[in-house]
Amino acid sequence: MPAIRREVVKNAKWLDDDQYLEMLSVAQLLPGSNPTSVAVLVGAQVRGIPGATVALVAAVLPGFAILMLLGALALDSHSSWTTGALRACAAVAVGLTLANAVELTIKRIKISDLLIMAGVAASVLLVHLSLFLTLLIFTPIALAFTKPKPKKAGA
Amino acid sequence: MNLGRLALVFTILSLLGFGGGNAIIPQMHLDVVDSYHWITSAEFTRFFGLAKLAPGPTTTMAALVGFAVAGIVGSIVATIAVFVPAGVLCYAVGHVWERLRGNPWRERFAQAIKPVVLGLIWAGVVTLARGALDGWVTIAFALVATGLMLRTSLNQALMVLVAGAIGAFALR
Repeated sequence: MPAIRREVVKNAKWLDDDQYLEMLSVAQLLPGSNPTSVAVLVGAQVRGIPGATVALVAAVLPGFAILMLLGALALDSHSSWTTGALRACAAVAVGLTLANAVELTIKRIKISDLLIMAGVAASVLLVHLSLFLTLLIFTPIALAFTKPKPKKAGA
Repeated sequence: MNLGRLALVFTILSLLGFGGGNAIIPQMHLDVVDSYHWITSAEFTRFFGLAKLAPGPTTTMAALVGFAVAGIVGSIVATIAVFVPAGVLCYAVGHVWERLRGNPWRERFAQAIKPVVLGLIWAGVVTLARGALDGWVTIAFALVATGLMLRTSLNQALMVLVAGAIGAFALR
């Protein structure tokens, strides 16, 4: 994401920093992976629907091609070497995701947040509640616990 | 028809993917492993690991799931289904959200969705751990990665790559 900002704001000068931050916060609010959403918003700003389309394809295609290549190399082979490598990759990916969860959690040690997090995790893991129902049930609860911020001047 | 089902599963994931890729992991696992048995839980975590190695969002792992279901056509269908609906939605409503900047309800929603997404991310960690951690060696790999990620600014893909190289010998 820092690389995207450098290219879009500093080098290409399509947006200023304010606009970029605004697009980032919109991308975080909407469904979808954040880098691709930012790409769509920047592309749309630069050249409407064609711009958004080109940006989305460009954001996804290289990763897709490399991943398919990696998959062809690693998943087709059934040697014990590649299986070992893949098991280690998977284990490390779990560790990276755990670290990400820890980092995000220590920023919000509020009892209501922790209860909502635990409720969501328990519903998903123990009851296998679907993502749709989880969002439908827990978002209103979380909204009820979120105090409205005082209005900023000029808002 | 599997291709239709594949497209439907990833389209729904795309449109419900609030909070980015890690929040949809539990539902993706529920769909592709538990409901449709397209891949095993171990394969799911390996796909996830490989996706960390490639540039771009981890959600691209949908391509590998699609490949397992219906070859190269499946991988293209799954990739389009997981990225395009959210992209179209983003294009369609992005400017509405931008216009609501400073609106107290928008800020309130932004705050409220965070703990919900975090709960989903924690559920994702547990889901992945169940499929990937099958003994003390894999647990050690995971914990070392956690520590390095929290304490250093090492590149993620590099960590996965080095772990793969060690794993080829240590976990064969």
